[in-house]
Amino acid sequence: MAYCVNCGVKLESGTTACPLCKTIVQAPPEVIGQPSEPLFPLINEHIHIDHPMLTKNRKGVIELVIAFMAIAVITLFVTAFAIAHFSPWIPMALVLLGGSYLLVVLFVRPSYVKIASWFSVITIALLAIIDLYDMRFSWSLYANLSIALSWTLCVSPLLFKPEDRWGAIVLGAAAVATYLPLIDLVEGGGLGWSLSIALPTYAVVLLAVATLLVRMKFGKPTITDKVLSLIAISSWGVVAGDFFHLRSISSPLLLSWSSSVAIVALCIVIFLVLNMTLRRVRNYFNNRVV
Amino acid sequence: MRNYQHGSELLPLDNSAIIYPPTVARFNTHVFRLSMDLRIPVIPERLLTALEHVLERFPYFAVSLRQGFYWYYLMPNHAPLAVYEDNSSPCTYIHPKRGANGYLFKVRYTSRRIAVEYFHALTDGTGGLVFLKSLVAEYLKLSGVQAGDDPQVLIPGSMMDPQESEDSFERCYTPLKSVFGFESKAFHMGADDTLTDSVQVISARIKIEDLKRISTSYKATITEYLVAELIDAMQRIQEQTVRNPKRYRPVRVSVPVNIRKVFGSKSLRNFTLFIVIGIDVRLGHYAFEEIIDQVIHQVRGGVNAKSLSKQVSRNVAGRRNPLIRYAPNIFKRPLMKLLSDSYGDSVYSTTISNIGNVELPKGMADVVDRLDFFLSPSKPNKVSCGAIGANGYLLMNFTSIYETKTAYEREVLTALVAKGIPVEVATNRKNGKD
Repeated sequence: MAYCVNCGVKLESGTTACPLCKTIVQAPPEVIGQPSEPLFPLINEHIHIDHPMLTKNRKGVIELVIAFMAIAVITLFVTAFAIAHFSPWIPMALVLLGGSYLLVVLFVRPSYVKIASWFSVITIALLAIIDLYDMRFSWSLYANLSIALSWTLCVSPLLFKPEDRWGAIVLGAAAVATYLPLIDLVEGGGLGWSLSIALPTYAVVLLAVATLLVRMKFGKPTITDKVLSLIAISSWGVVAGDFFHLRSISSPLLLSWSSSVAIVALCIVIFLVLNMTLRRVRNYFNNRVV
Repeated sequence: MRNYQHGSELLPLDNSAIIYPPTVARFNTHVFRLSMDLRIPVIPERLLTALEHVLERFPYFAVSLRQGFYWYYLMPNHAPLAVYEDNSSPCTYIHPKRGANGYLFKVRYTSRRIAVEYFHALTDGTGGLVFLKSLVAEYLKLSGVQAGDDPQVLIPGSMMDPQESEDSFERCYTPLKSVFGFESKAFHMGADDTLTDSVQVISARIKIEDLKRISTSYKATITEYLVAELIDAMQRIQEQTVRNPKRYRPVRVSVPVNIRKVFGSKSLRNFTLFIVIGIDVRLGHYAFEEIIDQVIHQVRGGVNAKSLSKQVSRNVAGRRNPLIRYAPNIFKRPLMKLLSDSYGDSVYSTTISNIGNVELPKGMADVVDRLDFFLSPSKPNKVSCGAIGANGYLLMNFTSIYETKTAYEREVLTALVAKGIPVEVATNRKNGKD
């Protein structure tokens, strides 16, 4: 039996390298000794955590799909009962959509990107088919563009390597900036509200998000910081919407209903700035031991 | 309180078991293993016969796991029993249906070893040890060796104490208000090595006499001393891996405590509570003496009837809450997983479970060469430690999901060596042997 010269532990008979530090044992064979019986046999039982077809991940998604479909169908039936008008086509379409989702979950590798992409494609196709009953596209254009936009924002970033995620952010921002004028063009026949309200508001939101990202470079924000920052970003978005709307109708007012939201957002921003710059404020609110 | 006498009715999971079925994952099998290496050969057919005899005495172990509308529960299982060849790594997942013909334990063997792997929803270390001892005693009897008398050896055909199958948590429950309290996140070793679902083992063999000598010098018990060593090693790992001290997190170790003696329970199902012992490294580096002082203070402050009773109340109150009780299992499962991830594994850095020095009856001690105890690690706590003492030696079995990394095990064991305690190591890792 030998000892590891690095760790000082006694090694089991027949051991040629220390299991702790991998140092090779430099000793004559009679010191190393004959290999003793291994701690565990070398048989490696092939273990399936679950049946390959119905893994735990798949089961989770299936349960989720069924739950959502059930909720949607029940809601539709209750609404139909309340308004005394029943159209079987929407529940049937939902069931068809749910069935297609279940097939995807069963046959596609359970990764977020693949499942989300398949779900998007199937939904777009199904909505387009339903909308085509009168041989022309109408509402499905909006819905399908929204789905494509959601895919660009929520799924496409995962197709980028972590070091190239900035590319995904730019792509997402560009997609939103394209989507808004496109809807305006289709709906109104020209560029109206999208240029005067939507895009400037969106620019303000992007600026606020960029500020948050820059702030994250200087120390890790707490959960409270993150939540407050999100509230502030949404509030600034709302305020900007109101501001640009008033400008578009040439109102003499600077802000109308959103002035109270602006005050709240301003308070949050002041708190966040103080919290970031003054240690005493930070320690007081974070209840840290100093 | 329902007692399980006839093996014909369903058995609710005990209070600490309800968390295990929904939180089983690839890297967290919730399986623990107890094994005995014998000096006589193990014949599988004889082992199977011994198992059939012994299981009649443990009807509450002859069950399978089912999923009900509100909760998981246990149902009597009459499927044929089987014994399995041992595997290259311990604590492998036991599938509730196909793993062991629906049983929640798996009896494994090698030419000289009898091992039982238990899904934690069935029992805890103490219950598992009683079952293993009874199984080995029966095997020895069939081999013509008398094991001898021992209160932990239950002989097939003997009267079953109704308390064996009780959920003692329910009996010890005292209604209390506002008993919930949450800990902050603890330090966890990073995933800087490939993770594997075949558990890697470093087994350290240490003389109990040496450990007793050193722990007495610190006026601590062996468990307290080992917990202090684990905390100290984790503190060093954090200091080596986290560059910015502002990002240090507390280092805590979870220590399961057998509370049967405290509450006078004879249950062989789960009746263990976890106390979390730790230091707040954000306050500065702790010297070993400071750590052991903290550990002694926290262990002795935590292991008393009143503190434990508070924990029991917290566990049982959660289950009795009508909102939780009558929520369908389909909603409870993800919620429990979330709670377990957020407030379970994440509040401590590693686990050590010390079964203690196991007294074997005379006849059994003559043929048992070695006793082992293994815990399954989990994804946040990638290394766990199971300790058990027998025949004058303590075996510290580190189980890990790191494929190659052994930094933590090395920190702990070299610290023992540096204090003059000889340590002998063995592994199931591929390196190290020809």
